[in-house]
Amino acid sequence: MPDRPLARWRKIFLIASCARHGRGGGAAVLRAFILRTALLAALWWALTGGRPDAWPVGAATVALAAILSLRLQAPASSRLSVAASAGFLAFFLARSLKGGVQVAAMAIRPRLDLQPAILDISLRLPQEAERIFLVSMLSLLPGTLSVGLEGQRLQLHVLDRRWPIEQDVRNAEARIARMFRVKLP
Amino acid sequence: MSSLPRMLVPALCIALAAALATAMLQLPAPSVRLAEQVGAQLGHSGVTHPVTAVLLNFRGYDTLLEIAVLLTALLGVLATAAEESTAGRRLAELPQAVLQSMARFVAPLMVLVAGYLLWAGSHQPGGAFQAGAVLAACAVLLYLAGLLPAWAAPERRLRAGLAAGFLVFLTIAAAPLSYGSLLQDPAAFAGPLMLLIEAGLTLSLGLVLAGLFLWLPDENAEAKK
Repeated sequence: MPDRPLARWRKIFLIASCARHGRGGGAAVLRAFILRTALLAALWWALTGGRPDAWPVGAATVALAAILSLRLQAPASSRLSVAASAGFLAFFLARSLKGGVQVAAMAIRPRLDLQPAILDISLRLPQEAERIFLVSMLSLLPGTLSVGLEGQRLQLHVLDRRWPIEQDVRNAEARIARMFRVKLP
Repeated sequence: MSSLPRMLVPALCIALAAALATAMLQLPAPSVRLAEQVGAQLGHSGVTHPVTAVLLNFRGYDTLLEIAVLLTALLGVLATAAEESTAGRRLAELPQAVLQSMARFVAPLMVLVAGYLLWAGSHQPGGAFQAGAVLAACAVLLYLAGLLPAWAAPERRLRAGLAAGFLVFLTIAAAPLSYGSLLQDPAAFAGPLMLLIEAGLTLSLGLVLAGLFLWLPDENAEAKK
């Protein structure tokens, strides 16, 4: 938090200019602001059950939340591939189902036959944001849990090392790369 | 263990339970039925939720003193916090990438939830204290994620924010002195006035509670030395 007298104006200016120092242009900031405001407003509408008397407080809250969001996260420059995103969603749902069945089958087996391990996997995704996306997704899938991420190095806890986990991770990584339109080395 | 204590313990438990139950059943009916009184006066309070009506209107004096106590507690922390102003500007050590990206995403949602709790207080569970707590948690999360520096000596804007809730409340409480008594809010404006008080309280409580955490890292750093 800057503590000069003109700090407030600097803050407003900062929001307007963060794109210049960042990746997109002024239009990208405006677009991000409108999009995030719309999403937050929809969330507010859902939270308050669509009551019309909630909007005076809601307008101020949504505006504050949108400004905070812009300050914390500059608009992304990469545009998602729609087709690859749909493909990724299908892949994610299928993997979730498969993982769930696998873990459930293990749980109901009378004799527990686990070989838990922590795998060390070197990720190829170039940007940190994409790696975090992959890591979060792996944590959501049953049977795998991301323990640590340092730079490119992922530590992944698995319930059974005999599963072809690394291959699955590579597969997911390639799909995420296609979704974010980046090339893997 | 012999069998005597083993039987004695359950027997004593049952006797105690019976004694407590008897005592509860013999309680005289309360001579003042507070819930009914609150319900009867709810229409004049400006809100429709009894807890908020009690906290901010019927027993507004309590709440006014509570925020004053919290502010005083923070002043105590400030008085003992480290003097050097550079120490406070540092970020949390070793911010983690995953935590940081989550905080960037979650913090605006926490602000939204705080606003929702503030609004909800007028007719369902919620209110300024809960909203302020969520705001404070948001600030602590941002600090832990390395996105917000620990606080240095408070500059003017921060000081104004810390005191705003108490001052707004005090002003609204004292204004009726010109024609009546302290905290005698005109029923016609009670609704908007409640909202104004609650908004000020939310901001100040968020800052005070966050301050209790964000001024303490200096202490932790000194303990490590």
